[in-house]
Amino acid sequence: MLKKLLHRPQAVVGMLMMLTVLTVMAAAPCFAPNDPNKIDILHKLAAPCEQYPLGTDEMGRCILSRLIFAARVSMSISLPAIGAIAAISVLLATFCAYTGGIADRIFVILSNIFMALPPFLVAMTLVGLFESKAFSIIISIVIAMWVWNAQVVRTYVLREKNKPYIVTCRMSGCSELRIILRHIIPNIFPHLLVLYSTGLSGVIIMISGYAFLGLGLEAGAAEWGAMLVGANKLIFSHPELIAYPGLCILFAAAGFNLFGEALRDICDPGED
Amino acid sequence: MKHILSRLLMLAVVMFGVTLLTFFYTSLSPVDAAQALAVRRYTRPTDEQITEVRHELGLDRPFASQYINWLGNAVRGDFGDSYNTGKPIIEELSASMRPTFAMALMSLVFTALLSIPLGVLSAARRGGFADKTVYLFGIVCMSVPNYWIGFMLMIVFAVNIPLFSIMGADSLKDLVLPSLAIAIPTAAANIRVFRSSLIEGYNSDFVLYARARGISEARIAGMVNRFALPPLITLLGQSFGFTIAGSAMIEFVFSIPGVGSMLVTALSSRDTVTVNACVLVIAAIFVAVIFLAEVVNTLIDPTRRSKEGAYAEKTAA
Amino acid sequence: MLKVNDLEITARFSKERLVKGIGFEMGRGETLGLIGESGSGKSLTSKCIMKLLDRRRFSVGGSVSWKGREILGSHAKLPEGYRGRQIAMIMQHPMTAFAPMIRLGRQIELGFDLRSRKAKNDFYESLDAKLRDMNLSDMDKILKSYPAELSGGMLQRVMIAVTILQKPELIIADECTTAVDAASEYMILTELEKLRREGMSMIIVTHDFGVAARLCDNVAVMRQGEVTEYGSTEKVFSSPQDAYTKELAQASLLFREGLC
Repeated sequence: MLKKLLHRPQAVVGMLMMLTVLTVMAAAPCFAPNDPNKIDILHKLAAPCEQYPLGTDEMGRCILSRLIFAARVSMSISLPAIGAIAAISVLLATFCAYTGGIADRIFVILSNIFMALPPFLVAMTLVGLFESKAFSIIISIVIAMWVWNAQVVRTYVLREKNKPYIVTCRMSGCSELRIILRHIIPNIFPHLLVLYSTGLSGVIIMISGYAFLGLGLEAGAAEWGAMLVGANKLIFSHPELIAYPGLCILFAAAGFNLFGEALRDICDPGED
Repeated sequence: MKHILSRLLMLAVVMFGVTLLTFFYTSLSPVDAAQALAVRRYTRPTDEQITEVRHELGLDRPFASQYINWLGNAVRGDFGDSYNTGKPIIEELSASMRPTFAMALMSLVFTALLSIPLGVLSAARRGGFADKTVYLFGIVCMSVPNYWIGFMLMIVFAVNIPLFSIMGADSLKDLVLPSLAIAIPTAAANIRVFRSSLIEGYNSDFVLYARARGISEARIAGMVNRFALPPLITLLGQSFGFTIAGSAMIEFVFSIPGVGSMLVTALSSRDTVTVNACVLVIAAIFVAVIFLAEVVNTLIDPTRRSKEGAYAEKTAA
Repeated sequence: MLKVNDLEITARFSKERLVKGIGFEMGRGETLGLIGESGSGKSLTSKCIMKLLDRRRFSVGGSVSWKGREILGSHAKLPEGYRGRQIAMIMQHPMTAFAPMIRLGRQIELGFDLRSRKAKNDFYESLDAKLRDMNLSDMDKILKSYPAELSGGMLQRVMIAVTILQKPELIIADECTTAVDAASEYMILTELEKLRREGMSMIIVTHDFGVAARLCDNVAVMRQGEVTEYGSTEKVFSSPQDAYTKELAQASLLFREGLC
């Protein structure tokens, strides 16, 4: 599968973008020229210069450094969130789809309920709940989004479950648990990868949205969405302050999207 | 008929579950409504004053009784008065729902106008330049928040070329840019789905047999559309619901006094009554629109199975 | 009437040659059998004759001429009513041949010119008669149903009836008895025999020797894209030249028992 990926330019581009974001996240201090939170009022809204490669924002903070550290914030919230969503949706969906019967019915009803909840509402109410605001955001994203993912996983499991090779497994005496672990999950794994990498880009966007509204992060934290808040008032004079964070979001999310979609084309050729 | 009844029952169950959950969520927050109101009233309320306010709002009664009381009133349309402004919530809600609803409707139209032709184009010129361009554009548009697109649209069309205003919701013209901003990312995702449904349709046996019988391409296109439209319609219904529910950010960008902003204000000031009312209405709209989409789908394709798996089926490539 | 010459079909994606330069001829009133196992290229050939192959997936070489007119080639314009009026096809899988979300009656109508009231009445009269011939007596109910509501055998019989009503000059039956139950198979074969007696030209694509022996004047045995044996049914079956044909003959139960 890896080889097939490497043959597709789209996948390669996507993977490179993903790697860039992850590298920046890990080694942010190495890349950033300045302290992202250091306020330098005297030089606020400066044009790009040697000290501040992309200029400064309305509080005199280095824009480039803020953008770089924002990667850290975004990814450190989105990765755990998608991880938790993955764990919950795979466990729950596999269990319900496989067991069938009452468990499945309950699952369907529960998921209908959760799907009618605006994800955004969940985020707002849970923000103040925990000590760590970041944790609240993670929890609220997980609660809001697990249903959608779980439904898709359930569909995959149902499809696999009915395939002939599974039936033969069962007939030759395989235990159910073994079937799930050794056959079903490995076979739907590529599809799950597609689901969660595109899901991750969605979470990155969600986080930026919440930051934009001021939820879940300390005031003045460096996060792409949060950076748009201050830039909002300066839309006439300094439109680039709006463009930069957006482009970063674009880069990060697009990387995962490109990778996910390329992977999807491989797993599910459909055409030709 | 039986099918419709069971769907309606599901609707009721969902509404019940949603409101219960919201009630639960709002009661979780550490700063409770009584405290918030007391602070607004007395600036530095004493504990006695807080308790007094709590009693006044009925928040000292057990959870169940609060919920049942509220629900009973709500079904009659009485949402009570906002803790924040003291005015009847139903009035404020109808006022703020107007622009949000209009915006959601407009973005629905835009989304359909974008998704359908571009989906058909991509499917018809599969693998070609047009297809790849639409695809790439699509990925880009799916990778940005819709409010950022709103900003960009604003910069281009309202600041540099003063075509549209940048705030308010006085006329439909004001809602064009925000609706477009919402429509673009949604359409990007929809195009993929519609395109793959169309391709699946054209590759299927029934198209082969129809061609073998000499049926005209135009008629065949009609058949394929009936085949491919239902998943798209389901998605359109869902995105309408999402727009209503998640409009806060766009409303902030364009200064639209809609439901989203109302919800945000209510939440930050712990105006739980308003929050509950908003959620009820939003969830009701969401569920109703999905139901409507299902009805439309049943008309187009009466042999479809139930909606439960529809979203999942389509996302599951 | 139909002449296939040096036909080559290649899969674009894998560059694999699926049909390697085959040829045969058919005259009016003749029934030709294309026999072979799965993957021999017989279905591809029949689809190619009707120019139904997806040009994106397959590239085609050689010539197919119908009544002296060349059919293949991107510049060749198909004669009026080529598909449906002149040549009609019966598909292998009736369950998927019809669109699932449209009522059968409506779908069937789409393939005919029923604008005048007289044409419509005549059509339904003939359809009713044909369906009754095949033991389907409730035409109204069938027309109002969706494909999923009928069994495979019933749908196949409906398809045959529709094909006959198209009044074609050539019928291509692509494995039309493979996916149906025995009773339906019997009725279908009876109808095809009737057609043969009435002088209809047919190409019967099948892997069943028994069916071929019963219905065909001439047979072309195909294997991996090539015609390994071609001649009259009698000659090929009584004294098969090719080893492969011999194997197939042995494998066919009905044939061995001499039941056909």
